[in-house]
Amino acid sequence: MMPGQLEYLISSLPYLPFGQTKEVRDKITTTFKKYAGAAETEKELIELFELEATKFLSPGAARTLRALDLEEMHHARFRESKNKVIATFAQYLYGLKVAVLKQRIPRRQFQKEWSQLEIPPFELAEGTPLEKEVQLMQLQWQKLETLASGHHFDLEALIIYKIKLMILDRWWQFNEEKGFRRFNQVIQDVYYGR
Amino acid sequence: MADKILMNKNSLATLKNELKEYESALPVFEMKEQQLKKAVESLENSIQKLEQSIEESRQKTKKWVAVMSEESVDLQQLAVVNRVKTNNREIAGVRIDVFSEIDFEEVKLDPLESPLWLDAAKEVISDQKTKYTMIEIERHNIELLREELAEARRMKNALKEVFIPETKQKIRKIEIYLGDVERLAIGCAKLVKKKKEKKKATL
Repeated sequence: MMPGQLEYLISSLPYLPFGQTKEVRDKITTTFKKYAGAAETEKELIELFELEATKFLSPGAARTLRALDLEEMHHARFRESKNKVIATFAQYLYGLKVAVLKQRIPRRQFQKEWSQLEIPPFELAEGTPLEKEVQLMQLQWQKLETLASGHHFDLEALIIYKIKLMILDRWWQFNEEKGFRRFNQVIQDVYYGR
Repeated sequence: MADKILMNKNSLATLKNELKEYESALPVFEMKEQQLKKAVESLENSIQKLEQSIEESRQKTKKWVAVMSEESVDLQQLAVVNRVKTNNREIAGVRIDVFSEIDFEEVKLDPLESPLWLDAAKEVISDQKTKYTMIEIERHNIELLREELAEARRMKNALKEVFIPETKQKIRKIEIYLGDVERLAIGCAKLVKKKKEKKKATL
């Protein structure tokens, strides 16, 4: 990795605001597609980002970045990562999931190891399941903002950027029309009379 | 071709018995028709209420249904119907199924690995599937009742429009015929009597 390359890469990445507006989404997607070139435009947003970022990273750093997966971020392999940002965020996410679990499952199913965890103090505000998901994403976003302090042009900054992008990508995939279509397909599949 | 009527007292008695049976059967079919009509209406109302409730729930779900587009979750697996339990009920001789309960296959979701919205989705999908199943049962019942209703109507109309008037007509014909025969016999008897008296007088 050439000195100054990370600075160049990070400076060239589009700013990520926490929101679901079409303008922001289009702007970010277009930027990454432009970076990737015409041949790669069919790829997903995260893939496009990785394609661009790994050009400027050492193989080890590229592996670390590629390995990040929002769905599995709370797993032990991330919680025990040598990278402090990854480990801190993974532990926070795990704590957050356990805190949510407390509200989701009966007390008797709550595992002993979970009670010993340091659970972030939070309370989900009343709202629809969508609003609650957004609240959880916002909490993760806020944690990432805290972790970002002091990291401007290093691998940690890129890691935080990718996690933020994964959070937005998940949010942007929430589509009312598609969700309603899937919902309707499932509910009308009834058993009686077959 | 209409059956040839035997113009005698036996036929008259048989026809009168038949008429009595037809007239006693008619109110039975009329009542059956009424009962079935009422039952169909009641099931239609119940379907309407279920559909209304489904629609209300769909509108409420629409506010957050976007989360269901998340493809990492298999919605089909959230509420798989295992068994639908029904009881039997009889309406005007028709056996119908009455929804009792629905069993869903137990889904073992790891709450740590599944998104929070899954709980609400599972609840609403199970509820909607239950209602759609209830509608299916009621539709099936309506089909059975309508078949029986059509049969009851056919019987009622046949009795009212064909059997009873035709039998009455036949009875009338025989009664007229037998009356004529009786009058003719009396006339003949009187004539014979007169002739006999005349003969006696001349002797």
